[in-house]
Amino acid sequence: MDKWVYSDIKEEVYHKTLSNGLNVYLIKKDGFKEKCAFFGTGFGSFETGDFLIDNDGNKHLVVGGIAHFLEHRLFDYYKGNVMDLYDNLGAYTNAFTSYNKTVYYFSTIDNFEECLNLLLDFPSVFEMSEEAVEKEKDIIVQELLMYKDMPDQKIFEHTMNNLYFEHPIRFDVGGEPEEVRGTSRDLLRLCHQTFYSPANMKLVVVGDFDVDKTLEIIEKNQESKKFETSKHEVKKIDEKYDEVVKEEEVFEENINNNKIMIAYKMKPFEGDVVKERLCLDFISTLLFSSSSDFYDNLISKDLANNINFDFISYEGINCLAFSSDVNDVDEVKRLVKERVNKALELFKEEDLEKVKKSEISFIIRSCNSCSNLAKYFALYLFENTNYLDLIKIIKEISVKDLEDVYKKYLMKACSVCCVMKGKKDD
Amino acid sequence: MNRKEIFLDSGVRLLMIKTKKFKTVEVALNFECELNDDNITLYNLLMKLLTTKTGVHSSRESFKKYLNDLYDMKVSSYKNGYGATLGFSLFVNALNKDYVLNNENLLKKQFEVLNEVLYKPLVKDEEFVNEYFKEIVSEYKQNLINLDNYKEYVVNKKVSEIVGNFPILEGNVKCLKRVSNKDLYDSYLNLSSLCKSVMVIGDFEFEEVEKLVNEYLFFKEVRHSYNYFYKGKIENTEDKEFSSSFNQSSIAVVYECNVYIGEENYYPMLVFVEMFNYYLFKIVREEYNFCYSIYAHYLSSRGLCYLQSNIEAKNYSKTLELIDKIVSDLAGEIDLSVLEICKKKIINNLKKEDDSQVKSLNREKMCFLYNLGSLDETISRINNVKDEEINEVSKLFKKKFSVILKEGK
Repeated sequence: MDKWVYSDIKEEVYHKTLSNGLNVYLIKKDGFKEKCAFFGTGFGSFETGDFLIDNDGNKHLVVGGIAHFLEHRLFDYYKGNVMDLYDNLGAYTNAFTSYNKTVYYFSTIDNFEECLNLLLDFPSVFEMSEEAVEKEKDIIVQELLMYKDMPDQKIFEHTMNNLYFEHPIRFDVGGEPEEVRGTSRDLLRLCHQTFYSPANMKLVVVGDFDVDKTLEIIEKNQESKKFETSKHEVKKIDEKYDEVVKEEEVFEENINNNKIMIAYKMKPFEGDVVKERLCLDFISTLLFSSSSDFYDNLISKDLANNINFDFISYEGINCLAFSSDVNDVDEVKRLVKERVNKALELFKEEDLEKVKKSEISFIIRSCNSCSNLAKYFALYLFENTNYLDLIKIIKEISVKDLEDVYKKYLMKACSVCCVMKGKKDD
Repeated sequence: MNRKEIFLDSGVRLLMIKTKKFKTVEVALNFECELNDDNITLYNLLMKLLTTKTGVHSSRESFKKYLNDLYDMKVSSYKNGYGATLGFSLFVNALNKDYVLNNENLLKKQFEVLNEVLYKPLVKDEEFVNEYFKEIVSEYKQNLINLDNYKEYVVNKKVSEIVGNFPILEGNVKCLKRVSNKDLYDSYLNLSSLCKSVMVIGDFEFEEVEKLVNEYLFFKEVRHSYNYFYKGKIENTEDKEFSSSFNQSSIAVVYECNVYIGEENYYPMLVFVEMFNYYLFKIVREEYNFCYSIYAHYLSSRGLCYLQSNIEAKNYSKTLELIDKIVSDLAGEIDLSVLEICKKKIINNLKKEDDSQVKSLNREKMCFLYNLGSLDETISRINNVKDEEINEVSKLFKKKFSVILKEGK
């Protein structure tokens, strides 16, 4: 077992790759009552459009929303409903699906060993009736309808559809209601067989526990399991990075205000992904955060409100998105573009140091909670990054790094602008 | 964990909890005033105004950069209703010295920031700088307008209008229009007499904190005290329907529990509501698949319960029937295993509060306001809740009305 010591933040991580390929990370937090574990697979909505090959060699298309559907259904375990089983143990459980992962987790005070074994067991077993699959469709459709009433989600979907020609970031993680209605049990099984093998999964456990004993529990659990695997044919995405689908879109919705989203499409990373990703993250902070004069100007001149920005980065995706409620669309659009064009002027040592301190403090603060630490550690693993290693990398980033990354990616990026106009009476 | 509590000359309670468990120190100042729509809006605005710019850092940019340089020291505010009392808190959170360069002690800086926020606001001629006042009002107004795009908020607003004296903690535009710069400044001048307690949790020395409190915080004598319960009854019992342009309907149901926090039946009612939630999820979501989420909140200082869910309008009547049946079934034979599960859930959530600085402070506050006793005593009270007590409190649980915000598409 490897032991990684982070003496500056007083944390230790134990890691082992088990013989079946499962990567296990244990973080001991002395004095905390909560113990939790996150168990995830690299299967999300980005696999939409791929093909899976069954035992007879037939190809099956991965439909939208199926990773999310599978997440819902795996809670129906043959020993009982997983929520009930955790309830009986006095624990809390849940799961989430995103673009590139599905993660299951629990949080408990008592019965840690039973909770951990259950987490390692239930996502690994596919046991569901046709009837149960059909029944679940109604709940999922209700969930999708709930998201469709969220204006920020809607403008994001429009923006991604205008930015990307082929990449599955165009699709909602949960799929469309008709895709959910059309999902079959056989396809769910094939997805499970393909993506839920231990080598595709990661386990993060955080809390005040005995490390050796915990690893023993995990190893014993995994030894007894056999996993079938299926082949997976990844859809070739021929995305154009110097072109967008539609540069401008204005659409109406029943909302009280106008919203804008301006997004920049950058080519995929070519160098040190972790470092370049951090650089673009810092650049977006320097451009648009509340510590910028730009933000101050938009608010004080009453041009925009509820200002947000996000650097979205996955395999094949590097996108910087600015969004806000907006009072003067043309002026905000002009200012955002001017800001991005003149970004090189903003990269000053003094400001970068402040951003770095802020990012480091975010990581340290997340160590105040077992579930937060476990969540962030797990999320970053699916980006092939050790969350706690970020501190060291952050410290090394210079103004020159920001300039290089800006010139390489953002300076040449093309963009789209989406405006959602409100049509509700005031 | 080591704690010390003293009362300052002004009557403000200073509670210090010393622990090495966390990597940050949290300082909270807790204020209280009468709970009503005007006060909620006024103090939301005031807190926003005081924490966005100051007389020392007169732009958002400079204040935020200053805080970022202090390892992103967090200045935030939070409000809650305690019966007829509005509680609002100002928090300042900073990394403790073990985690910053050269072991710089940020605790003193935390108190300096509090001092700056509270006593050096951006003022001119005995008012807030008018441009800044207008900017914050406009920002707040637009936030409120934006909230109307969310059905959960809209349905909550409808409930508030029907119940009367059931203010929404986000505030409202009508009240905001009534707030003048002068009003706000007068409220600011009175702020230090509304402070009831200062709470600090983290790794520090008691003497050090006491010294900093005396050096940087100045309070007028605490004069006001409001009722921590609100026992007004709801007259309306009619279900209401409203139209909307959302894709999916949203429903709310309001109940009178007739049991208040700290009372004899409080713990049975707490367990009852947990059981209610257990069955809502099991039956309405899992068995009938009518919704993705459904949840009932026990507002224990008002003796009310507020249930909310997003459903399709075609399932509205059936959903209400199912909910009514769950409540009536809880008056009958109780499934003891479910009772035990729900007790365990509440207890484990209480135990987890020790793992969070903010939740630990909130629990301290609730214990003080409602004389709840220690965590061990609370756990023991919950463990001792019997099935017949659930039956008993179920008789006190009365549905008043429901609201549906009907989908328009």
